Amino acid sequence: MAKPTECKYCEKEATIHLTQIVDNKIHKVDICEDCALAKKMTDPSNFTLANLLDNLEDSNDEIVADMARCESCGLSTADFKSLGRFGCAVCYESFKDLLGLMLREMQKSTTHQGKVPLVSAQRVASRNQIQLWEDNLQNAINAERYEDAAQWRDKIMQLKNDLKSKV
Amino acid sequence: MIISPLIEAEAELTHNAKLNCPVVLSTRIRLARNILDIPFPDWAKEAQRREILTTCMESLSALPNMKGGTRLIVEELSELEKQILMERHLISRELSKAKKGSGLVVSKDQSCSVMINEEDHLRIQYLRSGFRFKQAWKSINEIDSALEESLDYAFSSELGYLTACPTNVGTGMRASAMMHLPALVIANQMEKVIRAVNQLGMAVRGVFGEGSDASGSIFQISNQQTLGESEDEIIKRLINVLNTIIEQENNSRHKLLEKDPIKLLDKMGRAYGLLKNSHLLSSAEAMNLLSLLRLAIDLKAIPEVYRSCIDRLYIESRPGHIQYAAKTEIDPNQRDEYRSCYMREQLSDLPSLNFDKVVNRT
Ligand SMILES: [Zn+2]
Ligand SMILES: [Zn+2]
Repeated sequence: MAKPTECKYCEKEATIHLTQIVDNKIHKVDICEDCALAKKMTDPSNFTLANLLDNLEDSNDEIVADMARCESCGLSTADFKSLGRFGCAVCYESFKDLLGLMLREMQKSTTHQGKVPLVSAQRVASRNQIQLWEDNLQNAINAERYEDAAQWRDKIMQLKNDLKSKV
Repeated sequence: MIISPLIEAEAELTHNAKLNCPVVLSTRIRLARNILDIPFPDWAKEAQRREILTTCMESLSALPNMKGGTRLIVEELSELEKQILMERHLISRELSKAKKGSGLVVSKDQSCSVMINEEDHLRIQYLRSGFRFKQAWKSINEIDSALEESLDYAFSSELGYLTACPTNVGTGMRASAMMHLPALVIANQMEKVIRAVNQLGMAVRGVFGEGSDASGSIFQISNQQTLGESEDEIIKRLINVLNTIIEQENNSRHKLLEKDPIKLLDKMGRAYGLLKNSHLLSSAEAMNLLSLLRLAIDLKAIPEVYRSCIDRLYIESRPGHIQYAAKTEIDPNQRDEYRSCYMREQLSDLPSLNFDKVVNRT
């Protein structure tokens, strides 16, 4: 009698056999039901990721090792590998190298082509602008350049009013 | 029960089956969105999750689409309520098990549902019965744009909408169709179809059960990639794949009718007999029998008006819904009895199968 296939992650019998072909690369995994649930592999998109993370573990230790933590949220590379998720938006910067590898494997390209949240992006940009001008204002005041300071103050007021009128 | 009004209302999913829509039952689009400067739900602290919940609930309640809708806090729901919401595809398993501070907002007709603090801060979902991607995209795009008026999204001009999992980054969009593919299943062609569809960058999932022998022959086909193509392009590509699958299914139906019509008529006839006469019906068996009656409608052996009833029974024969309808705690065996009883009752006025038109086709 043929030996039943063993689960890739534990000793149990593999009852789920996944095959996915992405960009002509075949990914084959035999797993048991428990591990499939635990690794959320019943969702095809997560399956791709779990698979990729395993491959990274095998082949890219040096790339993975020199990355520390996201300074914004504290997520570590190990955290990311066990969760399969980032901790915050800044993680996309913090884990840039690892991310690049993954995106090239699983996405169509690495540049966004779709919808842009114009209103929200504009608002965020304005707020950052105000922050910058407020620094300038403070510097002008500190240097006793009061004419400059007045100009910065006007600009800030103007932009703040614009922001308010949009809400 | 908090969700009773939801179950008893006439919903897009259960009461609005498109007439003459043989293969595609429904169209669904979901968008993943996150709020700037707050960690993603899984990594956020409880206070941060609560903050997100409050802010998002407020923004959602202000939307015209959500007028008269339902707002639910997940931790206030019972296990049965969560199961029913899952069976109606209003929440995911993930949300049902989420940490404290998760919620759900559902529009009055249940076409739009928004999960808060699932994998991402917001999972906006829009459902349309039938094969209607243009309409679904137009509606969800409007809702998303309206939300952005009051919420600051985490977005990068290079990577698009930033999501907890990089499999969703970019558009954050998953577009999918529920397809009824009984002939491909009977002809043992599903495995081949799944491989081919995967090769085109689309995912196939059995809706009730896994793999190529999903009960009820219902499959969900969706895009896998979210970055590098616009929403329109992704949808266009998906529609092309779906049209090919529809063609394959129809070819397969013709072939079955040409090769061995009696075998197929027998299958449908038996399904009819079992649904109208059995006294014990498991959920999986009910799905498979309903699938054959749905095929009988496509082949004009049952009048078209019964389509929405069959599509509704797909949902109402699931374990949570049966438990709810029984109104008292019942064990799985009693559930099978209750299910058969419910089917007999719901299908009592279903006329005998008329195969005249089926045989003429061959
Ligand atoms: Zn295992
Ligand atoms: Zn982070």
